[in-house]
Amino acid sequence: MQQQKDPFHSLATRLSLGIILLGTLIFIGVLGSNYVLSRNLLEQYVGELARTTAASTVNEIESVFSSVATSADSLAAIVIKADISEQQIQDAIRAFLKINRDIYGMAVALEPNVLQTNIGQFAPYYFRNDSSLSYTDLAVDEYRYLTWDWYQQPKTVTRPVWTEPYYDRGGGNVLMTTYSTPLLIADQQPFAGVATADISLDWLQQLVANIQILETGFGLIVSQQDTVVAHPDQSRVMKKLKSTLDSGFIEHYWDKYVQSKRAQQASYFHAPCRHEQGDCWIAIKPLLDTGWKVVIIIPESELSYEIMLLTGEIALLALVGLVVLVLVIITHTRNMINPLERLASVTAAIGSGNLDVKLPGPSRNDEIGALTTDFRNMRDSLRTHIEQLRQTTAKQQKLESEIEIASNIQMSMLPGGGTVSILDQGYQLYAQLRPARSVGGDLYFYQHQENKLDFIVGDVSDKGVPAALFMAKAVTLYTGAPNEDLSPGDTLARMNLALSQNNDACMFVTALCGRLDLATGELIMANAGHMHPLQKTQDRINELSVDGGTALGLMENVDYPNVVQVLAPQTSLLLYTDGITEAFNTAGEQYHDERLFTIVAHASQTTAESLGSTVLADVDAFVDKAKQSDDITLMVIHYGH
Amino acid sequence: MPLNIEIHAEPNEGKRISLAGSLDTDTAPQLQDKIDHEIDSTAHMIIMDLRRLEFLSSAGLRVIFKTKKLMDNHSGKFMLVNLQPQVRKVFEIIKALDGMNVFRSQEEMDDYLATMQNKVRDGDS
Repeated sequence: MQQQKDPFHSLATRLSLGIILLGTLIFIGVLGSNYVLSRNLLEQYVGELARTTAASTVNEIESVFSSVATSADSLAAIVIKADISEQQIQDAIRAFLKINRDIYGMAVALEPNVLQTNIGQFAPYYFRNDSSLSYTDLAVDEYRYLTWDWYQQPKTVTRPVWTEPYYDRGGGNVLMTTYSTPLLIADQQPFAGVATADISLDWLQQLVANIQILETGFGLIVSQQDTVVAHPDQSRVMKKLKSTLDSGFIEHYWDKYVQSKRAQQASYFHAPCRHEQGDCWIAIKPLLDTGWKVVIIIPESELSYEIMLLTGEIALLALVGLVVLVLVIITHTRNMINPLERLASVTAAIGSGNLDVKLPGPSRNDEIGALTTDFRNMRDSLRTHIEQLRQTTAKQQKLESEIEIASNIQMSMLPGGGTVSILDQGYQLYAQLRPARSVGGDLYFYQHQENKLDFIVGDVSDKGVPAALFMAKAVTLYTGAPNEDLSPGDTLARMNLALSQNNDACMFVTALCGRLDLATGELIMANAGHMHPLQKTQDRINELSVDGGTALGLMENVDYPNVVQVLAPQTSLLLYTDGITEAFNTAGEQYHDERLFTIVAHASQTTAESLGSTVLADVDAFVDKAKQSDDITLMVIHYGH
Repeated sequence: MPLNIEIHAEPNEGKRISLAGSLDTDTAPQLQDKIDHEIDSTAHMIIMDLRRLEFLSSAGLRVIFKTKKLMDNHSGKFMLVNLQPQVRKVFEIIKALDGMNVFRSQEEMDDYLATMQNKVRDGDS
């Protein structure tokens, strides 16, 4: 539970962060490519816009110019008649002006005395003044029409020209350009004057001012001599383009264009702007005949601005989408993770032993639902197992306590309760019984009556509870015998008879039974399949051979002979069970008879207890930490004072 | 030390139980279990081959006696063969060899069985 406090270790947070990061990367990628695509599209669109604007502007201008030119040409065709009067010329001018409202003013200027010898300098000029026409005679000394470009140029080139824009001081008194067509009598010669039609630059200015592309795109018109004819910024009009180059694009690109063969064709290119930071898209289209050019300029920053605007909108959409995505993911992962977190806390609770903790309901059909169900099953079977274990343990404890009681009862059947040490007149006796388990199948007993010491050491086959029960039976049988003053052999025979009847389990007990006359040292012993005792006198040790019969319980009606001998004073008799000679150490080695012989031989002859203790201590030292494999019983009888 | 138990069929509806290892308190229940489940209680003959039995405790003896009793109940034969000295000594100490058919070797047992069969055949004829 501890780690959940750190949000970065939460599955939900990590999942959300991962998806948000990925989503953001995807959005950035999409935005980036969208920016590039949008820019390409917008550039195409802007280029198209620039070109079409240029073309439409040119078309509009050309339609006006050509109608104006046609009017002037028609006037020329009328005037060129030899018999025309001055009045007729003036009437014709006024008539054309009335018809063609695009024309600001018209004039006929005659070469003195060419068309008609009686007419010298003659230059009537009519122009619009509000709604009416005004008249000015240009053939005055103040004006000197013969010197003006609009008169000189057609005369020189003998074909119609559009003049550079100029301020017609003394004439129309406005900025204008003039179409001037030469009056040529019979096949170009001689030159008889000009017929002109003026276009007020105010009109072009108006036209150019109305050109607006996007926010900052604009148009301008440049004459053949690179004079700015029309410009949204009025102050630039009538200036040389190069002196106002900051109005558009730099000199280099303009010169390159003008000098190229494309100069007579429409052109579209990309060049650095001077009046704006960055580049501009520039479309140029020449006005046919005049050598004038319509220029459309769109700053690229405009484009970038548009794209940024577009990208910003998309980014905003993406951001909203991302936020929605994050909310959905967080909600969804919460829904997924919450049951897991609950399961985790439940696991912790179960781990600490609380099996009654409430589990989340299996409300889901997915893996988490399956996990919850499995978890519930696990919890239930765990509960069952623990309950079983508790019951088993309780049973076990009960059994153990019962066995403990049984052990106490069993030991209480033995004199001294398992360990006895007697120092008496004429003899010493030491006996100890150590069951391998709580209860065991070994037995010993002794009874001192008058001068007789009766004793028995036995070993029931196997060990544990069955052996203990059989041992109890054997001890009970034995304790009844001495009172009837039976010899050891008869005692064993009687015990055997009782034990072998109905002994389907084939339990058996080996036993060494004896009676020592404390007065005379006479020892009577009988053996039922038990190991022979050891006899230690003051100078030697030997196995005291007691030949006998089969172990008790295996066969009915067995005779056990009494073996009689006389013990010398200060003789020790050792009776033991195979728990001693077949004791195993941790290496699996057996204690063996030889070692028992040796330890008994080397033990100092003091008391029965010290001899017995020495032997048992040696067995303990040999066994070390190995588990005791069989019941151990040792009885030492020391005869003599 | 563990106990290895092999049971093979012998002629005349007999069974041979070959023991290897240690027959003690821990392993005796295994042998008892095998005998209870795999040996027909009315088998004619059980040969217990102790050639590779290293250790025998009183708990093991009990199983052997019980098996013998099983055979005695219906006059079946129970034989012990190939006793190693230390195992033989266990039998000797409790003086349990007297009532048993114990053979030092396979040959000795085969001779005995041949004699028995001859006796039966002679008796029949």
